[in-house]
Amino acid sequence: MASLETRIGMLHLKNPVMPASGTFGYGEEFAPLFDLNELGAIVSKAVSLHPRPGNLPPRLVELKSSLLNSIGLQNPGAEGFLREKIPFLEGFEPPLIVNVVGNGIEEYQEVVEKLDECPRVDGFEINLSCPNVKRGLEFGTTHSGVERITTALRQSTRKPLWVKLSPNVPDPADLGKAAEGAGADAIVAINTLGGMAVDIEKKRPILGAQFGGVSGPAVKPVALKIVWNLYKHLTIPVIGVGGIMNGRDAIEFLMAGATAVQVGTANFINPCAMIDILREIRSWMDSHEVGRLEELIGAAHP
Amino acid sequence: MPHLHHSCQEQAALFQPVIADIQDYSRGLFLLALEDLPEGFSFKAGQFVHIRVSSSDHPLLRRPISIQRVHQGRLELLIREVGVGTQLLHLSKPGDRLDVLGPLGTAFSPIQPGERVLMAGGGVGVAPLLAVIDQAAVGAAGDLCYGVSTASEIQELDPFQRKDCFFTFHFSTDDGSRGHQGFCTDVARLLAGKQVYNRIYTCGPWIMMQKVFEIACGAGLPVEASLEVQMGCGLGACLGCVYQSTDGEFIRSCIDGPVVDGYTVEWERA
Ligand SMILES: Cc1cc2nc3c(=O)[nH]c(=O)nc-3n(C[C@H](O)[C@H](O)[C@H](O)COP(=O)(O)OP(=O)(O)OC[C@H]3O[C@@H](n4cnc5c(N)ncnc54)[C@H](O)[C@@H]3O)c2cc1C
Ligand SMILES: Cc1cc2nc3c(=O)[nH]c(=O)nc-3n(C[C@H](O)[C@H](O)[C@H](O)COP(=O)(O)O)c2cc1C
Ligand code: FES
Repeated sequence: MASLETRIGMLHLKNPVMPASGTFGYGEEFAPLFDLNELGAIVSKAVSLHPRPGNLPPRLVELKSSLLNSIGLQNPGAEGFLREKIPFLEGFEPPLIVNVVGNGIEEYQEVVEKLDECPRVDGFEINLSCPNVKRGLEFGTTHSGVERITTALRQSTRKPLWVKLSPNVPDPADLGKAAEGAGADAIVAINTLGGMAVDIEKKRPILGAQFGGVSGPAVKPVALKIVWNLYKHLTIPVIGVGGIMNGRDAIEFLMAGATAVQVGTANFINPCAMIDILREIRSWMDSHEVGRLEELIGAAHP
Repeated sequence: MPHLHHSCQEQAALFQPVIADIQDYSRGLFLLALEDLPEGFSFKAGQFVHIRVSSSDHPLLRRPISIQRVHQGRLELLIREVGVGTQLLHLSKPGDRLDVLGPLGTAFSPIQPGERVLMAGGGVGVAPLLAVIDQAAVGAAGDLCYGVSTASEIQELDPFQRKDCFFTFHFSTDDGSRGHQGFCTDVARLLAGKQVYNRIYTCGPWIMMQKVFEIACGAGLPVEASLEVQMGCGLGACLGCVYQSTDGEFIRSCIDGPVVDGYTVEWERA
């Protein structure tokens, strides 16, 4: 049977499938439905220094083959995360990657330093890109901004540091290079695409926060191209995310250059999506006589 | 205020029941009966199931539907066709399989013997209230104010005529074709002024539930409301389905609801 093992820097994953931040909570909600130990890794919902209430509802709009959300990074804060979520996560084996947000470099640093001491935390995913937060965007949009924040966080932790990019920039690969140069262990691409929807009867934006982020099947081609370009220009691993609904989608990302994949919106449609995707990757590899996942990574590049 | 039943997402199962029957009431209103449920499937009145309506990417999200009854191994849902998702459900055929997640969410407090509860349900909002009647303890009592636009939308109520309880149905229709002409909240207001109740339960359009909340405030009674908010995962993970509480917090309606203490809801929403 095919081996699905993959490596992201110093982290060995038994398979390449993990949840996309914010679509899996902190895992608890899915535990009754499947064994979380089946996952390659667990990626948490965003954690900020202090608890955040999130945005005014409505927060979700369903679009054709996509979803618009403006959750606004509602979370219990770093202390709350350690107190309320870590005890549950201690019961599971897959590496735990904490998605981190902040209002400034100092806040990101404080969160990382607070969580760095926790042995259950295996690494950090730096969310530079959430379009739902007013000041989140500025670090994520310029070469020097990404370089500055990555350099600072590299000093705050020796654990794996993944930088998650926004697609809402002219040249994501350039930002990937900035993060790589400043010591990031991997690049995660992509976060949601900025978007909105209007209620024509009320003559107002539907989302309480006016703007949100688009995810789901419709964003897959955008994400694939960004992953492709990152793979071409970087040497550190790329983790692909955006619109993955099934095993074939995941294989497309691997072939475009992803070393692992994250599954987001699909978890809402099928709570066991990640398990199904794993099974589909495995059976595709078996039927195509691919023995190791490595053989697929970047395979579409000439 | 009696303690609302804590949510039971840990009971949630993903299953593929078979459509046993689709019964049409009036244009676009139908009763969907599903069978081949998981072993020992049960629910508490007020809980819902989250149904995948298409195997393609459109519509993308599942659709939440309150459970009306589980009877002789059949799960019954009362559904109104309002858009593409409910239309797909309506177009499905006996023998088809659906993809269902549930039961999910909080429940109404069960009615105990000797208690009397006032209930107001608009349209398909009556479904979880009929579930309350179905599950009430022997000797429980109450009045259900049942509002629809026209008499043909009132479903078969024989299954909910309990000989061992004291429930009365009060109909209201927009066109006066049955019962009171006007809103079910008109009837509820009158009853609240005449009778002594332990609590009020409501499910229906937001504006209707807001009126019921005012009636409860006027009568000094506890009120439990089943909220309808756009849902994502239905499991408590995405934080997409929140409503605003009176202390300004954002609460998940799928897991901390849909049935909530009416006094904790910020009814005046932006
Ligand atoms: C906890 C919960 C329990 C529910 N229980 C039931 C139930 O027992 N029976 C039932 O029929 N429905 C119930 N609903 C509502 C049901 O989920 C929606 O009607 C359904 O999701 C609409 O999907 P659609 O694809 O048909 O419509 P969409 O395509 O999503 O919407 C089409 C149009 O209809 C409008 N619309 C959407 N929902 C409603 C609505 N409820 N009433 C009027 N217009 C609407 C939209 O604004 C849009 O303009 C419940 C909702 C919740 C949150
Ligand atoms: C409801 C929701 C909440 C999200 N929350 C976060 C978050 O907290 N942090 C983050 O980095 N990305 C967040 N995202 C973005 C996802 O992690 C992912 O990058 C994006 O949805 C694209 O993947 P998908 O198409 O598979 O959903 C969120 C997405 C959704 C739909
Ligand atoms: S629908 Fe996802 S948290 Fe309620």
